[in-house]
Amino acid sequence: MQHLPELLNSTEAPLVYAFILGLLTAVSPCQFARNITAIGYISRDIQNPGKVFVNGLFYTFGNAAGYLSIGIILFLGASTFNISRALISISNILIGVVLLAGGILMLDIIKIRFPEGNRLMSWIQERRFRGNRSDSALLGFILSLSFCPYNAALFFGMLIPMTISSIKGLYLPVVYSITTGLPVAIIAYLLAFSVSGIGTFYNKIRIFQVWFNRIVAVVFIITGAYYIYLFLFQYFFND
Amino acid sequence: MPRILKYFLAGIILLDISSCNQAPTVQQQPDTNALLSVYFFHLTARCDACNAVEENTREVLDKYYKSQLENGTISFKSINIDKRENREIVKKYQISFTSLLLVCSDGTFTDFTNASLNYAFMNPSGFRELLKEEIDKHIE
Repeated sequence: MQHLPELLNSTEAPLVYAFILGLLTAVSPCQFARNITAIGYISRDIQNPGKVFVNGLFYTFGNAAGYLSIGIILFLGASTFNISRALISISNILIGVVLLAGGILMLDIIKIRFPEGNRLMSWIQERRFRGNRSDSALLGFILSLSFCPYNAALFFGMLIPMTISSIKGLYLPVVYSITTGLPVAIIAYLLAFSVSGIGTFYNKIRIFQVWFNRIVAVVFIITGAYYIYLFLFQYFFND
Repeated sequence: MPRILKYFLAGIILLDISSCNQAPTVQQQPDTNALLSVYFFHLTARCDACNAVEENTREVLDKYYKSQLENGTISFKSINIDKRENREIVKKYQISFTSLLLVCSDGTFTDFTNASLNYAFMNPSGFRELLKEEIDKHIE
């Protein structure tokens, strides 16, 4: 790990550069916490390692789509200062609300009655965040738009200048996101794989899954509340 | 999902267009009388690497440039980007995340962010050397 910065300085190849930036981001504590949240979410259907892995891949796609769209917007001429300022300041509230809402829906303890005829609400009610592909992709997308202080500096300060210097650089955010996101897919798969092995042995996997899902939901709620607290702190107690 | 994406893109683009009208005229005038101003920008939420940058910068200044700090040749300021009172300086230098700037008296500045974020946390002594070299270049 100590030699990563030197490697970063000596490398001429943008691909390697994006890869190292992704690694540095993936091991930073803040991103690590996000990755664990994501692992919890995409491995909800832990009986089925194959499904978990596919969900992990879709999470990675969503993540890549998020970083790539930021890259494209900036390439098209938007000001890095405005975009990064906006994204960094909404990061905490965005991730907080998503996690809190997701956690509550996953727990399934509150039966919310939505008014009839509201398409969005009935859509939410119907799906209840069951942990399928598009939800995983959506989670990846949203997480990619919320930045920790450290990965904001790496992404906007180092990766974006290379990305927007020419159209050939537009693949760099994708490399970056795969490096930060793919560990999620792999770890989730290994987790599901080993748990399902134990589970079939003891034949208690169903009970395990119910509890696993509850724990994930509680982790979501606590983390979400924490991010909302950070946001409120940032805006109301800081002036 | 595609619809959400579309709304998001439209929102971002609108946001950017609306802020273009404010015409950021960056007058590069020095903020202090110091020969060299060292600005460390940070967000309310701090990261380990960001803290390391500030700590090591303070250390270098205290160790090698104490007299200059005292007689005002060099000034150091730690600035919270999120605070309203700092809005002007944040806009002036277009800072949105953790950064380290070395600003000369003529208004030109060196952005030392990348080097400092790469080194400060994982190789603090290397960072201190680099920073000292850079400061020496500026106050010659």
